[in-house]
Amino acid sequence: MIRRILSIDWIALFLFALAAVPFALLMFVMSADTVAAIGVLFGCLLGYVVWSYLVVDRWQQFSGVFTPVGLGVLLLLGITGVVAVGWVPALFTAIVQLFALVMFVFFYWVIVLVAVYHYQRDITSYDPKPPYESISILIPAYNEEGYVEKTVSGLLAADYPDDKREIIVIDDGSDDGTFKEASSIDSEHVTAVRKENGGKYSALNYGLLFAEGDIVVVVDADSIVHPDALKKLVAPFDDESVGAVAGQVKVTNRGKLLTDLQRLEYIVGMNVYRRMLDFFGIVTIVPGCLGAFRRDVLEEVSAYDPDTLTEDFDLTLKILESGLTVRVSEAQVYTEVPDTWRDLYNQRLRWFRGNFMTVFKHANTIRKSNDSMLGRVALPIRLVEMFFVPFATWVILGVITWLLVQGAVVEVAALLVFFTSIIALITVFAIHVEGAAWYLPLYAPLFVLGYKHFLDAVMIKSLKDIVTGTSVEWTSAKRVLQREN
Amino acid sequence: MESSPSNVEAVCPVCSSTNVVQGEAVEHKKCGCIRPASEFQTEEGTVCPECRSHDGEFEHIGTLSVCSNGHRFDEQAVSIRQPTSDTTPSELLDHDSPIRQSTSWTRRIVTVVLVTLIVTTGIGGAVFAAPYLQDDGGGDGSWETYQSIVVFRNDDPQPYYQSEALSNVHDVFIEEGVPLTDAVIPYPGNESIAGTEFCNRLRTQKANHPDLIEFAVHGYTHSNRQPNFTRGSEFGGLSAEKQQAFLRQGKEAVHRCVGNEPTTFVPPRNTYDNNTVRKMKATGYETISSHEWFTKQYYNQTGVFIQNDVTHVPSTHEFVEQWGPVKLYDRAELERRFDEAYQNQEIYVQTIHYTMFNTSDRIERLRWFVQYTKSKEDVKFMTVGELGRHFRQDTIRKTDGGWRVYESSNSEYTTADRLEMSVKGFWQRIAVVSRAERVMLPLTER
Repeated sequence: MIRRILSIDWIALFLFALAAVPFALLMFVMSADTVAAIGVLFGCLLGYVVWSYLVVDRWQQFSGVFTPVGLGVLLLLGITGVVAVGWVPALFTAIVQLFALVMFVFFYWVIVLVAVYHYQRDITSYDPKPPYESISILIPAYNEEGYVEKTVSGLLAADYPDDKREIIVIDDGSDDGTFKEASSIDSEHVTAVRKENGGKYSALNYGLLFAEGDIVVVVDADSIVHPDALKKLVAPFDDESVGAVAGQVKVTNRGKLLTDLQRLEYIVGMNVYRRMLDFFGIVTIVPGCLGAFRRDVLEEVSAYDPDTLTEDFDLTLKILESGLTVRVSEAQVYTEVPDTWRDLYNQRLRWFRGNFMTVFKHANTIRKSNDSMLGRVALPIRLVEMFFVPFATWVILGVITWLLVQGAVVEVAALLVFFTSIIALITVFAIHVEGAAWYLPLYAPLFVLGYKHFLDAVMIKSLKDIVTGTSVEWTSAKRVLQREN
Repeated sequence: MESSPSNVEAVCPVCSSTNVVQGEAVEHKKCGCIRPASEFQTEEGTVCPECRSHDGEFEHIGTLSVCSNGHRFDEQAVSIRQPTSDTTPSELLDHDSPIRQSTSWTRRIVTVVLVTLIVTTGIGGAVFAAPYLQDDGGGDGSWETYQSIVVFRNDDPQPYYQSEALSNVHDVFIEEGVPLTDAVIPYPGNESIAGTEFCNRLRTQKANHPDLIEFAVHGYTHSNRQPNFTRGSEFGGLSAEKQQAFLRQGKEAVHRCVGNEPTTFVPPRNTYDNNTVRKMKATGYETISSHEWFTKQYYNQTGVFIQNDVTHVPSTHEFVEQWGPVKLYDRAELERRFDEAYQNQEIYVQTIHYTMFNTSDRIERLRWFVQYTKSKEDVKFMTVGELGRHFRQDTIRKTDGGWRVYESSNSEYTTADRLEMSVKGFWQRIAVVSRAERVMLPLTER
């Protein structure tokens, strides 16, 4: 008991609980009607999540009761009800604001809470021990001259039995010296193969032809793995129910505002949202820069498909739909992020377009998977993130701008401070867990105003492109090294 | 692309077998399946081993060699090998510590201080106007002297009835910057006003002009009547319990309608009794406003007074000269009556009924009168509630020189009220944005 108490990270708990102060103040200054309306809708969401957990964990026979569609209907009725009784004005902007507030409260008091619990329980801490599985590390590469050799070197230096490791670099029809660079690596554990250019999914599927390991690891050609990454990556596979494992991504290029913003974004994403998903075993994306899959599972789900731009998201969903879990490990990989706004735009355009393509492709999962947390919780949250939040962000920005024009500076400033303080608390918690640099939370205001709007604008454009059938192709960021050369 | 010379034997890099067969890798573009070409060949022709379809494009994408032991490799890989470079860049690993590494006390202290600073900023942001906000009667105010105190009380606002006239009346007071007390009927026709479009409009007005418009409760239905009480009263003569119920329900309805808790009660037909006052106090009201003819008759009092711990602010003047048919006082008479009160340093409480102002001529007369009262020097405008508050807090005193009023830099609202309204105002301003005509309002002259 004492050991358990001593093992608790009280600072993390304190950080989480401290948000109760700004939340309480926000509720205090709001009218009772508004608080009641938020309470009603939040209660619906919370009840649904609890019910979903019980259904998935022990009451599968009730999976047809209170489904995501049912939740949607209930929320609609709830909104209608709070408007009908006069708690909220019957106006579009007011309803958008209400729902955004409810999602904000839900994000903190459910998602962040689960993440804090997950952290306290040290759930991602697996203990790698022999015998180690044989692994085939696939490195798809297209015009990665100057990077691929470093990546391979890092993998060779990583701690893992040599006789259980093979590295396969797949040159996807590069027109630079990528293949030569990969072929020149003097190691019997490294194979370079070459194919006609066909896209990352194609390169990975091609690499599988040459892979003989029981675990397939994928690494991006510009990423460097931590020396203990490979062992930590395969450790969760001791659990037979695990189909895939995600690594932890760390940013190498730092010091610029844009790269620091992305760094903070990754830190918060991995230490909050992904922890919640890992708690339920439904991590929805195994990133291409470091991930691992059971070989037989890959074959069973036909590996990578050509019909989305985010093959990693697509593959992960296929694995989850097969009934297996997807987990997070403590394996770390270091990678570059775009350091110009144009490159970031290109990268996120591809990601978001791919995400929409993937979500549309797997829409049936939401309709049919009422007996899994994936279909009941993870994907509906994703839908809200992708289809509601970007629009709400811009609607709210429009309202704030209008209020400032009207002279309501005091009100706008007070509200911005409230929301920024809560976002800041979340970032501080994530920084504390990650052990990252302490100046990063200073960027928290940009996640309320500015950076968030940029990302949401790209998201909206991506949706528009997909819906209107705009020709979508791979848009990539230029690497720092290649730009300098 | 380099390739090995045709006369060089292929050797498996895994097992060194020389028994190697070279082949092609094929991709089925439709499903992404990539296999050796041989796996696509069936008796029915080219069929994808994955999706079992022969539709779509089948493309040769690469060359692979297979040794007799089943190892696959690419012969095109350059045979010249070079040593690998340094191991994982160590500088990358110094920046971040592994997850759950023990945290130094310095970091913990910095964490706590930083977080406390952030939250304090959040709290401070919410109350940063506090130096400018004082609770009633305290702090950095000053005593000002006025010749006369003027209050305008608008009776009968309700939904679905002459809403344009109500808007016209509000426009006059808002544009002239003169406070107005709206005595709102909470249950007209026995239906609660909460949740109606009428409430949205009132909330908007309140949000945009929190210090100009006060909402009071005007009876219950306004049509109930105790015939045995003076001129027939909705409240006077009713049992205390029923009055309390009506007072409480009426307060709740108006509160839910406008978003602020009303503390002023305006009894219909300007009549009430002692039970009304006692139950008002019990249900949180502070001020009652009827008419001087009633307070003279019932209490033998005129002007503002405090009785049973409630402030009585009776109306002194009507705008309507006669009710059937309706005739308003003409300008000369309005001017004369006001001048008289002004000269006598009286508190002038003007009752209007918005339904009377349904013509442009009558609206102009109202506007003219408001402007006339503004044209006088040393006139202090208040709402009914504000006047009642001053009397309760003893921040208004009659002197030979006129009325001395203690005015602080804040409005009539407390800090908590102000904070509450600032965020509620946010909601109501959001409501404004949705209405195209209101969006244009600040940009156009009306």
